[in-house]
Amino acid sequence: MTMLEFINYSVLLNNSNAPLIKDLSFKLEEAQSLGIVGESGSGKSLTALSALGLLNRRIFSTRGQVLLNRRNIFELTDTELNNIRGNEISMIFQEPMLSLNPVKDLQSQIYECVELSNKNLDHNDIKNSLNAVGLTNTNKILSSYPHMISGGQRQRFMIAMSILRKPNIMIADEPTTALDVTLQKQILDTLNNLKNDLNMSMLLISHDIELIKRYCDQILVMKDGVLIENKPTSKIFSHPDHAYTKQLVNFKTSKFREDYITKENKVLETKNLSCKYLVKDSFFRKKKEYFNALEDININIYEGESVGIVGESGSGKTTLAMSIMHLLSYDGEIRICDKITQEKLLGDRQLRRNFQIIFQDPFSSLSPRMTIKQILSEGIVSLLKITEHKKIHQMCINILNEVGLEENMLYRYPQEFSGGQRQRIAIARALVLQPKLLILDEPTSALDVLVQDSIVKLLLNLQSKFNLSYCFISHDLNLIKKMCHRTYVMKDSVIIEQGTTREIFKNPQEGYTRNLLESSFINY
Amino acid sequence: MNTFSIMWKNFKSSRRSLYSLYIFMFLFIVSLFSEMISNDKPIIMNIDDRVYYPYIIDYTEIDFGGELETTPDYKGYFITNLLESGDNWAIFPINPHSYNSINYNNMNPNPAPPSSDNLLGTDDRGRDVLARLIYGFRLSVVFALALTAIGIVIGLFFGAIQGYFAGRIDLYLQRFIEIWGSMPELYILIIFASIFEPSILLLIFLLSLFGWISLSDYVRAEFLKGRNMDYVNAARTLGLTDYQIIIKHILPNSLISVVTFLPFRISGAILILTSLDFLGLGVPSTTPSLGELLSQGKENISAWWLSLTTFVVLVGTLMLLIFIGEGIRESISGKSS
Repeated sequence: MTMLEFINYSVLLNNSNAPLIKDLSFKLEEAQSLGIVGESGSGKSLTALSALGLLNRRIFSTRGQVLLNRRNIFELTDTELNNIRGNEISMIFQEPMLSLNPVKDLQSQIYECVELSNKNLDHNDIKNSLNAVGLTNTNKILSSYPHMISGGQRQRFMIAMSILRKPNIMIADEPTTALDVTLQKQILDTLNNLKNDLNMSMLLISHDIELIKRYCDQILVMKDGVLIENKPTSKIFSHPDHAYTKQLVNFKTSKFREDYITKENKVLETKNLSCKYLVKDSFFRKKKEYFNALEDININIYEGESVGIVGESGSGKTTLAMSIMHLLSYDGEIRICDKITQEKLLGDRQLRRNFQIIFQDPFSSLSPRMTIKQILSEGIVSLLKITEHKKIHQMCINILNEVGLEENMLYRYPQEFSGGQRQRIAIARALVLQPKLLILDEPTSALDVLVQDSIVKLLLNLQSKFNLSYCFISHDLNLIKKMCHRTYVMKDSVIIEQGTTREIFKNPQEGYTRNLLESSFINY
Repeated sequence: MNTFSIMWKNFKSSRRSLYSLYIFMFLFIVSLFSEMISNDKPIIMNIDDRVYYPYIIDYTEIDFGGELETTPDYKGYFITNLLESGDNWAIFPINPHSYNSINYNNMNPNPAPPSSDNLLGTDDRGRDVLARLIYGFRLSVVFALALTAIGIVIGLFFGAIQGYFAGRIDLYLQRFIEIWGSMPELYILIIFASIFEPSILLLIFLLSLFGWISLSDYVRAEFLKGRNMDYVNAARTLGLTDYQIIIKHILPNSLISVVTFLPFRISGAILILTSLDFLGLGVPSTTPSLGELLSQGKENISAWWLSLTTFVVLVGTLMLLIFIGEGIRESISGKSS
């Protein structure tokens, strides 16, 4: 039986003619799980919202039909729609912190579902559904507020809320993107088991085709609002038709990086690096409480080498990056290029030209009030002490060409560029100073899959050209595998494992590392 | 495109705000030349084939062949007589009254109702209401601009320091601001008004002491947000000093909130001056002020031309400013294409 069907469905913005979704047709059968893959802006989330009739009619206009149990949802009244939502079809959003009300306790939020339900539900049903998603300590959970439980628990709670009324269809819109990799697998496994137990149909939306592949029977690939491929999972991987699908499928098949490195010049060396944050300060008492964000970190990076640092959020990766950049105060020793220490850096700011950083989010790392030229020339003036206008201009043009951008972009502002272009600008800003060491803090995680690929290629290219050393900080093991010669694994502020990337991936010693690898859906 | 040009583009799309801005700018610029519009001295005078410029040069009666060493009353008996004889002539401004000149020629008791001489009547001392409105509008707007500008400079300074350095500096300054802000502003004004000769400069000084606090809170919040942005960290790794980071990176990005507040702060300042004058705590009564006219209107309820005209000017000004402010607010939240 067909549960949900889209027939020649298009979505348009009211004030423009370009469709956001164009002629979308597909079916979701009973107990089927269907995956939608696509980059941001491809219309995945709009499709999900359309199925619940949640599109704001003042902004969007629609054409075609969406049939839910053979009823066209655009012909239903608001009351009828409200009855369908939650009872027949329910949705899980990407960010559980934002989809739970922060000023209400969880009990009153889940009871809201009970009140709206057309079935007779009682406290036992709530208990059962919480148990089903793996939240066993029900009384404690129900009396908590959203901020008191962890991100994984929040998302479980959202799932519990949406299965409480036993809907026939579950829509999950990037349900694990905001969570750590190890949690991702747990949550998706839970969701998948529930789907099988309750005989639901599931629509899973993600940008990650590997994740979709694990849980879905059928995969839809969307690009720019158009459905370009609709095939069973096995066929999509064996016979991808569209060039875009081919790129997606091949993206994760990568080799280890094993080009030869002469381990001669140390570019970075840390000795017993520790860093602590003040957690509790008392005005009247001497007693202070600290949180150790880094404990006795010893790492080194050689010239021309790429080193990866992996770990979950909260493991201290970013703190490590910040202390290497001398943006935080720390204990222990950091030596850069064998000679630069903390004391020397305090005396001579210009030494900063030897090490630079690329941040995760290219949208916040470029000042929105400065042109690209201003952004690029800032470092040239302050660190290289070049003041000659012609020379600065020439350097800016050269570096832009180096990262694959055009000269005519110099006088434009960051918000006119896409995420990938901005990340290139950030790379240009760092490289124009000709640093020896480049720290990359999750350089690709804010970008779409194929853009990620192009940035990775650019970085590899630049490394061989300028003999750079990279320090990758990431939770994306696939990126680490492609880029890094050696890897350090961090957990709870300490390094628990280190070795060449191949050793770590093939033969992880620690249970934590093994768990991390399993959750990342990488095939070896 | 730069954010401010995007803002301007969005602002222009709101007609009401755009016309409000045009009208306000027109009125303000015209009011800057109040002396040429409304004055009891002629702009140019020709007496016995000699040209005089009483509007620019201060003549005494002796210059016109009189006896007194004081400025002549250009509408008095002496000058009028001179003008009527021979080829003598004079060009008076459109409204031949100054804010302080008393019309002695009026037949009616003061406050006198509108007549062909005093277009909007006179107040209870026989001074022309139209002239006082024109000068009062100018004074209010200039006062408000000065107060706002001073408030912004101090507010930005404290807010930037607190927000950027955070931690201990922020803690102490915040406590200082709390204590400072809890001082009773009105009592201080009353006390100072009784100690010193009240004047517009004193008022600006006293109100500036407290006016910056609300703004510094906003700037502080913007800076607290800004100091953790990646581009600020990036600027640090590029070796910029704290001062450079504040000026070049965080300040331009925090100015938006300041700009949004501008028209509302200006209208607030106009209202403060008016209310202080109304209560008699503001400027001396020789200074033209809207508040003083309002309080005269209260004293002379039957003289409708006092309260009604002032009311219209005041409401008009505030409305224009609020429409402009609304437009600016919309232009920021609006789409940035």
